[in-house]
Amino acid sequence: MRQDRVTTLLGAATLLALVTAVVLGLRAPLDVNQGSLVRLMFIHVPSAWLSYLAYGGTGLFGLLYLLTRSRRWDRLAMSSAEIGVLFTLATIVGGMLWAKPTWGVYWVWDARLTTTALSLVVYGGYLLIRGLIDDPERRARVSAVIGLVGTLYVPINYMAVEWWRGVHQTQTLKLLGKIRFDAAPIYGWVLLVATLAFTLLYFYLLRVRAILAAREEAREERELLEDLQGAEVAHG
Amino acid sequence: MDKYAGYVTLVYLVTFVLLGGYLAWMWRRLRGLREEDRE
Repeated sequence: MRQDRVTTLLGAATLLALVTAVVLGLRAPLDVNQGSLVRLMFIHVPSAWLSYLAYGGTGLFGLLYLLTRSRRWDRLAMSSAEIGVLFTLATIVGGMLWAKPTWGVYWVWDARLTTTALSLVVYGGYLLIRGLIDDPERRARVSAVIGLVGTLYVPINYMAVEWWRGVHQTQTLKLLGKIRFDAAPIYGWVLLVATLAFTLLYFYLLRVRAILAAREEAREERELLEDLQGAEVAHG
Repeated sequence: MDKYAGYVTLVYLVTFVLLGGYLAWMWRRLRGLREEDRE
């Protein structure tokens, strides 16, 4: 009951933050060069941020699993990877729809776009491999290693626009060296609100998905136990 | 709004439809498990 109240409160806070972010994002002033397309920044960048957070979470929870062997961390790692894939998909689709009016094409094999697409292969593979291994302990161990290695994707994807210059713009918010925001301050504030809203969304989705995974695991174990008991009775 | 408004609306829509679909999928499975437990 207490758990459900926390989830409900987190969900309500997330919903409120998301509505605020969308209203601010869609009412942000038009940019002199991009026009209303600048408003895509307030959904595209937070989506990408959420996927970074989720992939970082997959690595961290995987590491915690390897250290403690508690299945709770494995469930959180899997949940986080799933959320990461979902928001990478949103980032790619959003990015393609931004690319068309600015670059004239939906897709180019630019370094940032390519590494983002590759993350779908890495984490799609992570989820696929989980589905192929029946033994829960082995599944958790193998997944944790893939999740940890996969975390390298985050700095590579973030730096791709600096290391291999292509058509994708460099970071608007520079985090390395002297932190600076290369756009009008009003955009920075709206982006901050949207990023916070998507951070809350990550924690809400992670919580709900982990609850679901825990219940599914409990049911599977119950069914396995019933099968074993049935087999023992049959053998008499 | 300008000539790009359609793209902007579409991106917001796609993102929230994906999110809504994922939430609906989770809630449906959670409800299914709860009903199975009751049986």
